[in-house]
Amino acid sequence: MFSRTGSPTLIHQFGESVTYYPAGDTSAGRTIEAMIEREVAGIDQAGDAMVFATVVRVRDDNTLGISATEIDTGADLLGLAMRVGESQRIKQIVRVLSTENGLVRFEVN
Amino acid sequence: MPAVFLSPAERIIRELVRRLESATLFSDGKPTAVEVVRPNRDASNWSPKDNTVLVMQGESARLPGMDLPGNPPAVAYALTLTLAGFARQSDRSTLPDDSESNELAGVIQRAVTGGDADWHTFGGVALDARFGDVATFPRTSDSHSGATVELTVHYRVSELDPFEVRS
Repeated sequence: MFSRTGSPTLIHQFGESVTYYPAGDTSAGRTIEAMIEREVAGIDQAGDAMVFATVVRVRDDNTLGISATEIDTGADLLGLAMRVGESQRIKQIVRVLSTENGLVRFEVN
Repeated sequence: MPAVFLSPAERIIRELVRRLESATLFSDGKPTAVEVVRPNRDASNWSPKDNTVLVMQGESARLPGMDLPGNPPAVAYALTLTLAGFARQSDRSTLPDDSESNELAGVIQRAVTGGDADWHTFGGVALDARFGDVATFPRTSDSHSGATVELTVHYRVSELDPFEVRS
C-alpha cells in the first residue's frame, strides 16, 4: 500500500528535480524527482581521498524514477545540485542501499 | 600586483597533470580519454566516474643526504604523490574486475613517463622520480574499483628561496 500511495506522495512533497543518465550517456538524461540527503561526507578508500557523498531516494519506476532492475552502479550518472538552488553537477551513482516500499535508495559520490 | 610564484612541488604536479591528460584507455575497444582531477577542499569537484584519475599530493619530506653544501646551500625534498585511477564496470559485466584496473595502472605510468628518458626531471624541475607501489583498491566495499600508483619526486631548492630550483 505504502509503495503505491505513500512513496509517490513523499517524493512529490519533499523531492527536487534531478537528472538520471542511464549508462552514463549525458546526452540522454531523464528528469525525475528525488529526495536528497546531502553531505554525508565520507573518506574514500583510494588513498584516503575525501569524497562528497549523498544519499538519494527516488521512486522505483522506470519513467517517474529509476527502477531497481535498471539501475547500474557501474555506469549510471546523476545530475544533482550540490547545494539547494545551485545548478546541477553530474556525479556517479556508486551503490544501491535499499529497494523497498516503492523506493530505490542509493549513494552518489 | 604581486608576482605569482609557483613552488617546485606545484610545477611538478602541474606538469604531471598535463601528461596524465594525454592518457588514453582502450578497454572498451575505443579510445577513451581519462579525466584528471586535483580534488578541491570539500571534494565537490570530482566524482569517482570510470576512467577518472585523482592526483593527490602527499608530504615533501626532507632528504638531508641529497643536500648540497654552499652559501646558500641547496636543500632536497622528496615529494610523494598518489595517483588513483577509478575503473567502473557495469553491474551486469562478467569480466574480471581487476582487468580494467590493471590497464588503468599501466596507462597512468605510461602517461607519466611519456616514453621520454628524461621524464623524471619534470621539465628540469626535479632531480629524480621513481614509481612506488601499484595496488588495486582494497575489497572493503562494493563502491569503487581501480588502482593506485605511488610516485616519489626528488627536487632541490635554495635554502634562502624555496621557489628557486637548484640542480
